[in-house]
Amino acid sequence: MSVDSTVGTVPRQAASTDGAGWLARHRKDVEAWGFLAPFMIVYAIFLIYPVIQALLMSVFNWDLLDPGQRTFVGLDNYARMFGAQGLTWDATHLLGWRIAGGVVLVGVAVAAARDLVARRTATILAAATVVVFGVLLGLHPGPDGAWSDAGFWGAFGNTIVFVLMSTPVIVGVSLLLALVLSGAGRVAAILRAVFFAPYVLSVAVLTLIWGFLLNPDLGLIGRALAAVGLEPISWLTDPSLAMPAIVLTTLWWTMGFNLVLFIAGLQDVDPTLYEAAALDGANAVQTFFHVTVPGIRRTIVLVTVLQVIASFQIFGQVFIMTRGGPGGATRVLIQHIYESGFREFRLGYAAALSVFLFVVMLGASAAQFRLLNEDDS
Amino acid sequence: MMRRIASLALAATTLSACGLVVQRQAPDPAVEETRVAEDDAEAGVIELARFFGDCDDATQGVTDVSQATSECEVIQILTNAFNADNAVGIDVEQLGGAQFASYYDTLNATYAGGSPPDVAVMHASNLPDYASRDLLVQLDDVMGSVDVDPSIWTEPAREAVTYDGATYGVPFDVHANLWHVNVDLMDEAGLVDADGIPILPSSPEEFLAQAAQLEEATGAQYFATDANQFALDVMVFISLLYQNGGDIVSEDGSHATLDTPEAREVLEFMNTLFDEGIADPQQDYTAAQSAFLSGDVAVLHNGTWVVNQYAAEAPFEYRTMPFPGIFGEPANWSNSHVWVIPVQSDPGDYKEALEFVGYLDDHVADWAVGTGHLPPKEPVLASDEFASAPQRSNFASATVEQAQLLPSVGNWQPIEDIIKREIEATWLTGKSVDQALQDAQREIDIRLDATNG
Repeated sequence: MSVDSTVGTVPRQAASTDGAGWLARHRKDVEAWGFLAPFMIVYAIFLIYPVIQALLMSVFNWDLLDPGQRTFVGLDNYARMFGAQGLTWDATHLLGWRIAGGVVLVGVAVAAARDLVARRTATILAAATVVVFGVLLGLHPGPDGAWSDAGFWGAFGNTIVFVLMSTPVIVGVSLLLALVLSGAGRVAAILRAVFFAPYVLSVAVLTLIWGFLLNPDLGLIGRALAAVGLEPISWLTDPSLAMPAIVLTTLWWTMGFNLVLFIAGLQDVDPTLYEAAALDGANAVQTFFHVTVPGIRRTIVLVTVLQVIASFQIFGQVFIMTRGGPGGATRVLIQHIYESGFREFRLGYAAALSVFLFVVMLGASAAQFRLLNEDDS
Repeated sequence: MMRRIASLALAATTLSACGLVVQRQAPDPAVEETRVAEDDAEAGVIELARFFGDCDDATQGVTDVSQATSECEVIQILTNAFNADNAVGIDVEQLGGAQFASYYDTLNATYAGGSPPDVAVMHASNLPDYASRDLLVQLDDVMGSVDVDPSIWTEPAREAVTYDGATYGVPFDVHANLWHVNVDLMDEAGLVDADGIPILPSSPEEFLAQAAQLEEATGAQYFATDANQFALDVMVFISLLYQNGGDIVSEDGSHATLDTPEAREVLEFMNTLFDEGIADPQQDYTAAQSAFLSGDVAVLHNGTWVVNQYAAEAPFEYRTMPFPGIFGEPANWSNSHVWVIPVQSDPGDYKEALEFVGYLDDHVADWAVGTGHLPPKEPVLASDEFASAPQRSNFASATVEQAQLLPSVGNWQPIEDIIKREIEATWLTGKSVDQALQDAQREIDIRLDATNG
């Protein structure tokens, strides 16, 4: 009997030990997934699934209104996006941009020579610069040729201009404000709240405020200029001022968020380092570049990357304030995506454009992380 | 791990692919039409999608349309009155906001989501996009049941709701360009005839000469239009192009006709107006309008929708005049607001929707008198009630005669966007007229190719 009972109990015991053992071994995994699951489910439904859906739609001719008109077209949408007739290559095409590319190239070489960036990164960067600025920017349709979708290239160019204009301004001004307002004191606290406040506004309210401010006849800025005897400026209908006006609007709107991140970063810098710098006789500028900047390096990387991503997605301000005008001067990529999808009913093509924007943003973010985090790697 | 990711991706892809295969079948508009006839109207709520703005505060509880002072108020009061009066117990509720700028995008989103409104307003120029996709109920055999009589429609109104020989909507108006004139300024410049009626130019040269004469005599700006905000400049361009013997697209709708000498001549003329300070390229809709209403502009180009407003507000002698023939015989950009009944995937409230459309058709005179739009029915156009409304006798019949609807092609909205972008680029960014027209031609051809398959 005892044998029987032993035989009878052993498997039971073994089984329970097994189950408990598995749980014990994977306890951390189970806990982690338990906590992650609510987020992951939402993330999968609202982010992963739409991304996959967009990739799929981008290989279809997908009519917004008519379910009957959905046919597989392979890479036709991408061919239309990048395609051109009578493409030629010209060394002087977009010369200003290519000179800028040359400057970047020299910068990379200098940085590599001074060991500021790793040799491998410098090589990749230099190669990318040569390919983009040296080769790709020279491609354009000849006198009798044309891009298949000229609107796409115009919108992409405007988006790049916005990213290049807005990122340094917004990051720089936010950092400057953070330095001034990071201290204790009631005035600084009030000002921090004041500068953060616009961030909570919706884009509709923002554009209403700035549309009114910038109005040459009725707005505060126009009136102020008139008061000192200057002609009012038509910000939003002047092709050279419309984009800067949009940058200004965006700066006022979003810098509060960056400001908070920078202030948090600044508070993490070890105060003894400032003391040491002061004892060594460092002036304010030296302290900034040798203590503050290294101390908030990670925050700078984070803010810059987030800002670039946000700037690539510029849409609401432009769409409401200028509708892409004057004469297409502020028409950006998301507007092109939106119009392709909702005004031309070509959802498949709009999906392909979004996939392109996604890849560009991914590339830009990866490059910045790699470049700005060099020390950590 | 990689395997797990791969299988997850595969599962997700399969799921999405299933979504692609299971497609909604669009109902057949002809079958839908029979269903409208068989159906009996029942009490219940139907959804209305419209633009014309929001004016709830001014119209709450109001059912007397004579109190209306704007487009929004007329349509809102008519809706209130229908809700209050209809014997069946139909309750019309407005779907979402009524902003014009985002109207079609929102409407398209409701279609894409499978739940379009029961009744919607649209422009004649946008109707082909929906009719060609079988998204609108065909009304030929059923509109008689609510006493809609197509035989009394004006020619442009009939054309506005017709696609491929069938009727897809009920016209609410025809609207067109007008010249809103400050008679005092014209008088001061000696540009009135013996009866005190302003003399308008009949050629480009006369236009420039009269502008110079007026500026010299009064210091005022001769001509104003919205040159950068809404598509009013497009309306001027198209009208002048029609007058000059040109058009936007070829007769068969296969290609654009903008890279042409006729279009070049018109666009060059418009640039001359801006270059010589006769018109101001920086004026948007509001700026142009307020400059006119404050007496700084002699002629404001705007549409029929502001006649009542200007007649009431102008602090000078105001006169509405038809768009003059500058490049030849008068011809005028025109469009039409039409009521349509979207095809539903579930059995819709078609009969109720038709009741409401019939009611609106009964009240086109209220709409015309309350706004300034041209009535779509001959008897209303000839009626004393209409003639006695402000300014109507000065412009209405001539404007109906010269009205020329936009081409009945798909993708009109992007086509208009392209024309606007390209012509504005010539006076706002210095783009050459030739280049702008070439670019517009090419871009529009691409959109036309897309709709012609």
